[in-house]
Amino acid sequence: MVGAFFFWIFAFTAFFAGVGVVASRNPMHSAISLVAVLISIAGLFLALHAEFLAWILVIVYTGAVMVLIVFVISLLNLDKDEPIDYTAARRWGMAALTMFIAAFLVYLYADPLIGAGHPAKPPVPDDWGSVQTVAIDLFTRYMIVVQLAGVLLTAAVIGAVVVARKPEQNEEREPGA
Amino acid sequence: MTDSHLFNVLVPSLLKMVVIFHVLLGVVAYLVLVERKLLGRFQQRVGPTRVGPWGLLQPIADGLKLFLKEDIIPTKADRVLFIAAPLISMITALLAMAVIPFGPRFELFGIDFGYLQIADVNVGLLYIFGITSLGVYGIFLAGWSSGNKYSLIGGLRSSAQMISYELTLGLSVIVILMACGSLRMSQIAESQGDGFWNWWIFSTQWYFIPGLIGFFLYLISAFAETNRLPFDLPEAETELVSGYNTEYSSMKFAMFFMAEYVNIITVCSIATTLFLGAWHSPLPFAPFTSVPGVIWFLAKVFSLVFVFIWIRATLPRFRYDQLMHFGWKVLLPLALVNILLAAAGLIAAGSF
Amino acid sequence: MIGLYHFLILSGVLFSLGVLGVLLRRNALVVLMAVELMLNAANLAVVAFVRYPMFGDGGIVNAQDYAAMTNGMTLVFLVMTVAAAEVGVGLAIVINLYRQKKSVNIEEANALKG
Repeated sequence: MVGAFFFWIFAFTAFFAGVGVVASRNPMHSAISLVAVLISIAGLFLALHAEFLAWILVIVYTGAVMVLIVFVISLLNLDKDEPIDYTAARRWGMAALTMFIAAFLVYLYADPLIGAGHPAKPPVPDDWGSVQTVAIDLFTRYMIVVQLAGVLLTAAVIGAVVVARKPEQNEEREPGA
Repeated sequence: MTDSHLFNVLVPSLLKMVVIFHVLLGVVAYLVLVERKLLGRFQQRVGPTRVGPWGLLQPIADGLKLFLKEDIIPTKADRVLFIAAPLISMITALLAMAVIPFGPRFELFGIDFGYLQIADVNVGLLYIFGITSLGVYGIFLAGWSSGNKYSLIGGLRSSAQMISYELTLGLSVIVILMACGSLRMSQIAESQGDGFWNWWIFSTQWYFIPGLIGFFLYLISAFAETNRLPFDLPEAETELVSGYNTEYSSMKFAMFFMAEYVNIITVCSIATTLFLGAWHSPLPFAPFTSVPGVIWFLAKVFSLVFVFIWIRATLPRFRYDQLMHFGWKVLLPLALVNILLAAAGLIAAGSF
Repeated sequence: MIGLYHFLILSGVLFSLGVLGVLLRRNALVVLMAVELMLNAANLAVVAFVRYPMFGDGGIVNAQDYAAMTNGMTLVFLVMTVAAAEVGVGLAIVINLYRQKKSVNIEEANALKG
């Protein structure tokens, strides 16, 4: 009962905030809506007994990634409303395509829902999905993957610095070149 | 879940929640007075004395004044976010208190209350970092939604500063996790009993150096996280006309003000729990151990709060590039080296 | 009764919203955010599958094997790592785009168009 209550609260928040991400004309509102989506997904992770992932999602995504995006929005002064000047054909085409994808996904999932019912939820120990269970996996079986992820992050940091760096004074580029 | 079980879980939690919440807000109100009094002393003044004996009714007068002021929303402001920002600040500040263990296990009227802690979650420390990382949004959105360039600069500064120092904050605490092996706040607190030499700041288990460095790294980044001097650039009065909260008035301003002080108490409580032995007495024999754990906890927290106020009265503000330089090129490498030191210490002590 | 398919349908709907955002919006930052939305919708599905494993006929696994079975969480953790790296580089590209074009409209980034 309590679980169902929380599921519906988080699910509705996630859905409406998701609509907000796509439909807000102001990028800042999109970003804040995405933060709400992420917090709701973290809540759903908690309902799925994935405590570690839930808080990592909050720390990494809302605490770092989204702050960075929000930062760039206000730094570049992009918080202007985006004009709506799509042709009707284009807008309806996109809506139809998305509806198709959504219907397809819901069909894929809902087909067994009507047929067989939900798979069972096995009982788990209290600390399942907490830091230790994930960490043991990460630092034994997937050690190399973790190392590679570290290399990837380092490469991304260096890449970001190189790409975003201001061009040097003596090699000034033409705008649009 | 049976009725009696529900009762035994729900009633203690609710009681603890109510008590901690009210005590916290009362403490916050008087913390403002304490800060003004102490600042007065530091500057050869006496501080507020007019309202009540020794100015003791000053917080009530301040609160009344803020309540009765006109609530202004600027025309250029983004209404929804402008109203949401102080709420986010206040809620995240209060939520972080939920996992702090103020005292040991106790029983009342035959009901086991557990630790004096609202929620003893398995990933307590991650929870705290998650919630405090949301606190950035309160300040940033306040700055952005005000439609004022000073506020915007304050908001930008605060988000950059808080992301930068959050790294050091997290890394400085990792040494405790390595030594203690748990993220549960109550368990970290329990692991430091029997005398101050077992507190993680001095612990001989790893030859005390990592604990000491970790504590000071934590304290410095905590100053930055709470936007206190010497890192109060987001609200620097003299250059930004108090930054992100320039456009706020009445209760919304009061919420930012309270959130700031709640945050100070939170970071001090976390430091106490992680480094200073939580509710354990410094010496493990009679006159010290007979004092209740909560008193020890509060004594440690208020000593740290005193340090916060002391630093405010002592140090000038950093320049912005100095702040960034200090965070990324001094504190962060130091925190990383400290983790290596802690690992080496733990291996040498044979606790790995 | 909440079960696997509730989570999966929510995940599918959020993913579709992300697709819509990528197709409809022309602000590069909003497109980036829509991509993040899709990634997280997928993460939600993975975590739901970890909690409700489907093996064999009735979907029941040996409880002991299951307790040690958190590979899915490891996967989600790594997805978050990669996403963080992606956003870092993506934002750098957006900043560079803005510097070149004074706008982040993705339709103006057509210098390589043949």
